[in-house]
Formats: sequence, C-alpha cells, structure tokens
Amino acid sequence: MVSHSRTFALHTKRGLILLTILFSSYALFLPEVQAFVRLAAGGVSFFWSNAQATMNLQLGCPSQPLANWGPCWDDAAADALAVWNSVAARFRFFVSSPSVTTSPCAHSDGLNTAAFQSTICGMAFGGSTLAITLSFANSTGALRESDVLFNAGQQWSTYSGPLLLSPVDLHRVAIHEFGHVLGLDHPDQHGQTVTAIMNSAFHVGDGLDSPQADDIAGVNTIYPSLTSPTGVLENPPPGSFVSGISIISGWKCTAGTLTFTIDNGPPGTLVYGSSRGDTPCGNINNGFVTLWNWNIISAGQHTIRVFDNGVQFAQATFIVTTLGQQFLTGASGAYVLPNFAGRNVIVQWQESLQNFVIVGTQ
Amino acid sequence: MYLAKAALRFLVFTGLGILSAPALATTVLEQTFPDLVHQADVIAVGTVTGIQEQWDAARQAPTTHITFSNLTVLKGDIGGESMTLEFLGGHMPDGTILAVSGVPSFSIGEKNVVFSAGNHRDFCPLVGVWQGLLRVTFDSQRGVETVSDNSRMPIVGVQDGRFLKSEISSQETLPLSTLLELITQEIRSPHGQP
Repeated sequence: MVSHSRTFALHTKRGLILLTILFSSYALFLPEVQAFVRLAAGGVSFFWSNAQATMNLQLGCPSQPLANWGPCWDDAAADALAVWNSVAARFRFFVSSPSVTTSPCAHSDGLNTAAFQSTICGMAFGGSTLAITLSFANSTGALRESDVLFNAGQQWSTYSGPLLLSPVDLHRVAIHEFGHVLGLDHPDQHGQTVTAIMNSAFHVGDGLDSPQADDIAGVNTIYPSLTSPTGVLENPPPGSFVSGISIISGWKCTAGTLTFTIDNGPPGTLVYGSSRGDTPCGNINNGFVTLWNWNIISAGQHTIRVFDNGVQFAQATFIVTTLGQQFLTGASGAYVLPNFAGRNVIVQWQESLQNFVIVGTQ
Repeated sequence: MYLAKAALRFLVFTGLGILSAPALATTVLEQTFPDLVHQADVIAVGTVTGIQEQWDAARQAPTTHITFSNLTVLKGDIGGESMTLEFLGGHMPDGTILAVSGVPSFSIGEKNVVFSAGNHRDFCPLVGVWQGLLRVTFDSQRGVETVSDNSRMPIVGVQDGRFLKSEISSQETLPLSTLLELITQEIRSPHGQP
C-alpha cells in the first residue's frame, strides 16, 4: 500500500518570500491508496468467470422524460453500465435487449435484473436504504446472478454534480450498485480511507459521480486485461489537479472522430494523429491532443470523458483551481520553491499559459 | 454533547484524520447518533454466541440468524436472556451463496453494541444497516473496553450528533462505559434535543 501527501505553496506578493503550507490532513486530502475491496462471503471473493454480465433493465420510464441520461430510467442505468465499460480493461456489461419482464426476486432465473421494488423480496428496505444488490455465487465465488433493487419509495432523479438529499441521483447510485454486481465491495467498510464511488458513503453536496482511480484499479484487478489497452487518456490523469491553460491528451491505436465532454457538457474536438511512437499500438501517429483553458469551467471537481465516434473509451475525474477569471491579465511575479528535488526552484507567472513556469534553479 | 477533547486537539494539530460521519450513503441514508438511539427498537450490548443460517421458503431466500447473549439492554424489551437478529443472506439449498452488500458480518465471541430496528421485517435489522453496529474491543493498556464502528475505525467521541472517528489507535478511543452513558442520556432526551 502506497500513500503520499501533497505539498502546496502559497506566495506573498513580494517576490522571493515564500510560505509553504503542508497539508496532510485526511480531513482535507484523502491519501491515495489502492484500497478497493472485493465482494466476498465466507472467505470467497466473487467474480464473473467470463468477465462479463448482461443486465436486464426493468426500471422503466418516469412520467416526465429525464433531463439527463434519459428519457427513461433504463437509459440512465444503461449509461451507468457504459461508464464501467469505459474504464474496465476487460470486464464488460451488456444490456439485455429486449429486456425480459421478470421479478428481481426470481433468484434462479439467471437474469441480472435491475428494477424498482417496494420491498426486498418481502423484506423491508428499512427507513434509510436507497438501493441494494443481491449477489448469488457458488462455493468458488463464481457469480451466477446479481440483482439490483432500487427503493421505489425514494424520490429519484438523474443529475451530475453535487448530490442532493432528495431527489437522489439514480445514475451514480446505479454506478455504485453495478460496481457490486461486477464484484466490488465498500472499501470504507473494511477500514480503508480512499476516494471511491464504491464507498458506502457520500456527503450531500459531493460531486463524486463516477468511478475513481481506486474503483478502476479494483475492476481491473478482478478482471485483468489480457491485452494491452488500445486507448488511454493521459492528461488530465484521474485524481489530478489542473489549472490555467494546458493540454488534454492521450493516445488511441486507431480512431475515427475523437471528441471529449466535461461533465457531460457540449462535446469538444480532439486533434488525432500526433507522433506517439512510445505506445503499444505498433504505429506512430496515434496521439490525440487539444489545448484547453481550465479557467472557463468552475473551480472544483469535474469529469472528462473521451469518445471515439461517439463511443466512450476513457474518462477521468480531476479538480480545477482557478484565480477567478477566465484570462487573468496584468499579473506578474516570480517566487522560490525551496528545496525541491535538492535545489531551490524559481517559478514565474506566465500569462499566456495562465500558470507558473520554472524559470530557474538555485 | 460529549467530546474526547484531548484526543480532538491532538488530532487537529497533528493534521491527522478526524472523519466526520457521512451525510449520505449511496445505498443508505446517514443516521446520526440521535437517529440511532431514537429509531432503534432495541439497544443492547452483547456477545455473539450463535450464527445459524435458515432457508426462508416463503421469500425463497436464505437468512442468517445472529444470537447475542450476555446482554446489557439499554432500550426495548428482548423478552429473554438472549436476542436473535435475522439478516438477509446466507446459503441457498443448492449451496449458492447470497451476499448482500453492506450487511455486516459477525463472528462468534465478538462483542457488539447493536441499535436494532425492524427485526424479522427489514433485510437488515440494524438502524442504517452497518451504522447500527458498533464493535467493542478491550484496550489492554487502558484496561477498558472501547468502541469502534462496523469497519473497526475507532470512535473518539460524539459531536453535534455525529460520531468522531480516527484512523489512529489513540488512547482516547471512546470507552464503552462512556458510550452507554451517552446513549442513556440520549434516550431521555427528545429526538434532536440532546
């Protein structure tokens, strides 16, 4: 297990005067550890032997079309499945089409049904339970069925961004529950402290609505890739901090039209074909890139998704910090970062990048 | 309000983690300390002395029955010297395992504080599923029993109706006796008016 803290430097307006504040509080920054936990019972960890599961979506449609991932609940659930597919190297969710009308409590029908239910097969949800996953496995842990029951007595909607107490965002709850379906448990219920969609707990107001690095490591540990990946988003990496103007970049061995969205907003275009001979693709011109001003989106956590001809193949959640303007003009300053990699490093504000660059060392 | 002040100061100034209780779970809404106390039908401290799986033919699902003995009952009437709680999950007749995410696991001999509600009705007869289970361990250095949450994260106090938790094994982990006093005080208080 590896963990590290992050060091941040704050600077006064007088050059060469430096104030470094070290934050190592768990309350502010969670340590980055690989802490995922596999769903298990009786000492046996659960898994799908063929690294895939077909979900029978029986959630139906609301009276008014959903504003996000809609128009139906099944569409939002299907997108939640696609989110896992986009980050899993090998595991794949499929959607039964057409869906089969059945009860999620028919435990021997071999169907992985997701549905709204007023009870858990005759037992009450209790006053606080929103959704539950029932996983059925043999003595080796090989799953044969997994059903997801959403509490029909709860107010539901679909939205990204800060979580509301009511209505609850079904999309992120579905991502969480489908994480159970593929074999992940709650890391925070096993003494782990890590940022993860599979944690049993979110704070109201949290923007966490997609698989995080630990979740992704989890699914790809249970179902390790048999082949090298064919496409990667390298910048911004998951869990990173970004600011100013920088690139969105990565590589894909073959590609049609590459686009990206931030928080499911309007798509942007990525330029494909830059030289990347270092990838496992076997060709050279497989890089993609675009320049992006992070100041135009709000400070805080965001999720970027990358698509090839409309099919998502990568995503990352990252944190944006801004200085409150889309393009800060007229500012200047140079500062010393002491004892970085054994030397003092001088950084200077560069307006064109809306960021600081290293201009010297001492 | 109770707070292990020395522990809190230590944790704050060392920058180490005090993790407040979550406000919302993906599957389960947060239960505050007053919620746990006032929503529970039974609050008891006991030792797990029995674990038995049963097949519920009517529900076509296995359930696991956890028996607690050596009980100290703070709230409710258990109608005997032991208490058995029924949880969804276990083995089906063909050997298939049914696992339910979030439902705590138990071991014979462990000592727990349980905030129980909806036994034989809910899939998990604990207030807030795992939130209604606290683990009791003996701190040999201090010579007292202390309390941690279901994931065995030490509880160092109760503040603003929420458990304060710490990842470090501090000497200031909340003694069981103190928790029981807090529960007793909360039982006497109107909900939300500790």
